Amino acid sequence: MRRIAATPRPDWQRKVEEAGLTWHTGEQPYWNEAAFYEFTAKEVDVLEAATNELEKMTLQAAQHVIDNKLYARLAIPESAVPLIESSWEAEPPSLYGRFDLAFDGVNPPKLLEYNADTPTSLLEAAVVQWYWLQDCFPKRDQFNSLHERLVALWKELAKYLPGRRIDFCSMDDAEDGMTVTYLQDTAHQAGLEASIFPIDEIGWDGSTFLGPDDQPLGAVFKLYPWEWMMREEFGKHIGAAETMWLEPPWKMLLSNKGILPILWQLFPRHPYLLEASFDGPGLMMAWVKKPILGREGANILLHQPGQDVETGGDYGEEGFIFQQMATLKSFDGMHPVIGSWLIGHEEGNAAGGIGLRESDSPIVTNTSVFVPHLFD
Amino acid sequence: MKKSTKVTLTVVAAVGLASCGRSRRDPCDRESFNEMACQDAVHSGGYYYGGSWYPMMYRYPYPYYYDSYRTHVSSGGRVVAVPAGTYARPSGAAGVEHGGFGSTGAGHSSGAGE
Repeated sequence: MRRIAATPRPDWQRKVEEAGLTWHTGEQPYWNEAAFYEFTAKEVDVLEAATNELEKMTLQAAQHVIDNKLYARLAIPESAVPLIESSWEAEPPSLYGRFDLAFDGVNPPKLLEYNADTPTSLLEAAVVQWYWLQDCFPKRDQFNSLHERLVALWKELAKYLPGRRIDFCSMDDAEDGMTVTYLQDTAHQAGLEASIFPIDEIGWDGSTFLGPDDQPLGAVFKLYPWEWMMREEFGKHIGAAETMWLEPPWKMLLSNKGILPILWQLFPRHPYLLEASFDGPGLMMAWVKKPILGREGANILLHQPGQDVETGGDYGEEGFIFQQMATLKSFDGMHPVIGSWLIGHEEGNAAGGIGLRESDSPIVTNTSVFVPHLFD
Repeated sequence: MKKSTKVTLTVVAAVGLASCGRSRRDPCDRESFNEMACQDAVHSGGYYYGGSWYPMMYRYPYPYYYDSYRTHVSSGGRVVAVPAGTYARPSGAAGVEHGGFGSTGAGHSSGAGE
């Protein structure tokens, strides 16, 4: 695994915008093709195997939470429990997720966290970096079958979607909007009917959730966290309505940082895991304190002997977990985190590709930079 | 099992598709400028067109688009008339509540994705 400096395409801004990435340059660039990461095929094999293994482990962890009623440990409200359990039993469709992994090409990948409910940076990983590869290194390869897998999965899920229709909703936010627009595109390519609207346009008529046109919502992909939905005004209606939600309610078990100590309890010293605890750092020398329901690297405390680094934010009221600090190897002064995507949940075949985000600090936040990759 | 493969995109995703494959018009575009709809679109991060919602990222505040439109018109540029009501939000039926989701996200500075 190497970080290699490169000359950006002369009109890279136009090219990434044409691929859908309109927010490539904010206060600081988000897309960076002045460098790329190069992997060997063996390293890609390692990442693929780790992703499939972690998928299996996290499903076992979800079963463990349900079997042992550990909801309070995860700060999950009682009102959500019937939804979680019924959706787990019914196995409704689930689309995707993203493991964030620390990896240096030498040691086994380590799970930093699992974005199981509302992952973004999908368009960059699935499409934008693929066009970069075609333009710059057309004879080389990329660990990326995300687009094909998404289209194929929608075709598979079509039979579960009332009227072969899936509606998408998100907040009024550029990145979220583009993520659902891209997903809508993949659903269209699979032959599904699909629309998009802001989540606050969802209506309720006393028995049914409705779209902005007041038509009943059969199946909805919501890029909006379950823990927020459950606590909002319409949350109390979710159990009574027939609307099918993607991601399904049981995903709130896995998007919760509390799943990290539970994984460690179930699989102690597993090579893909970092030690994690609900109760404090224990004997860990260097550790990270994360909010159970934190997002985007907010309210993180990194502790090393003699040095604490903390990020701001407004998360943490539900409690925290403590996780051993991963050693994020520095590549030219940058710390990459690998977002390893799962498409669907087919055992042993869910890993669909990777996207890398790097930062000059060891915390990945919503301002970390996306850098493309390739392998031989 | 496919451990790695080449992506074969049949269409350009997201914005590329939206701008090429459909005949909708952005209310902030100087050729189809709509004052109220553009203000709302910049504020909301998207707009309704024919009852469908299209998320958009506007890089500049509203006056930029207004000035661009005025400059376009004053130099004799073409303006396309968009039928009244095209940018309207779909009207809700009686007895239907809206806004019961989204309040938590509205209190955060960034989106809900991660």
